[in-house]
Amino acid sequence: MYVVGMTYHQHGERALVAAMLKGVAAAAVGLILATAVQLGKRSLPHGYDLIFTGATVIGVNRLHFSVLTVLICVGLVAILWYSPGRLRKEGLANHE
Amino acid sequence: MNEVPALIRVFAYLSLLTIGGGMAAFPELKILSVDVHHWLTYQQLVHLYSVGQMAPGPNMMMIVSIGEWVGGIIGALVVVAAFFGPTALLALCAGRLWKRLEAWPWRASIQQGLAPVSIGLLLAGCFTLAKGAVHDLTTATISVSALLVLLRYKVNPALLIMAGAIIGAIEFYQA
Repeated sequence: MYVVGMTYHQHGERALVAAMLKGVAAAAVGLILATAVQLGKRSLPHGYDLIFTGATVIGVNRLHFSVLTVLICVGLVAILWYSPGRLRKEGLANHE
Repeated sequence: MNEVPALIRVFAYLSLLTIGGGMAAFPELKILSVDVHHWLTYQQLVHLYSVGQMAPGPNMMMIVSIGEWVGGIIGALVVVAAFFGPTALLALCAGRLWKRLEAWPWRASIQQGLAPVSIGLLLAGCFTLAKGAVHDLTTATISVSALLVLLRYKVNPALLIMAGAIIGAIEFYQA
């Protein structure tokens, strides 16, 4: 990656390289989205999980809170939501 | 060279945000490296991430290049240590602690609670990247096609990355 980065530093301004990287970056977005969808299917079994996922995205991308703030706030609420009592009561304990 | 302390600070902090993967720290990486320290432009960051997709190893190895641009070889080494050191140490300690806490009732709560948040952080990183990567019909088509192909078929992602590069080149020659 060190060499690749240095090569990009030297030749990244070339129009052809920039055009190719434009395509690569767009493909990378699709790739990450696919990873998120596949992970979501596997690890988000409950509908209300989407509320926490949505709140995280809105907090970072729309409200521009720092990742740390969102992680602590939404993470804490989500953990409290899944309190041991609720997990027991609703039989939600995860399939580990 | 005088940027080295800032590199350590920034990447050690980013390291602790990588819940669910390096991409979780991407929005903060953009703010700190582009908006606050001006080490590179947003477009360069997006390009570096894209280049990282083509190189072997974790995607976030692209941070090595940021370190090299800012502080030479020392900067590159410092960034690797600052970014991977704390998170490796944390993973080691958390892993050991996690085993000991097997009977702790909140263990399952933490696992279930952090799962949607980590996926949210991954998506937030993805949208931050998309803001700089998807800006016309061609790039939107490439992104959606890559998404649909990956959800439908088992394809090596490197092939899709290569296809993106080829489409970009074809568009360049047609313009």
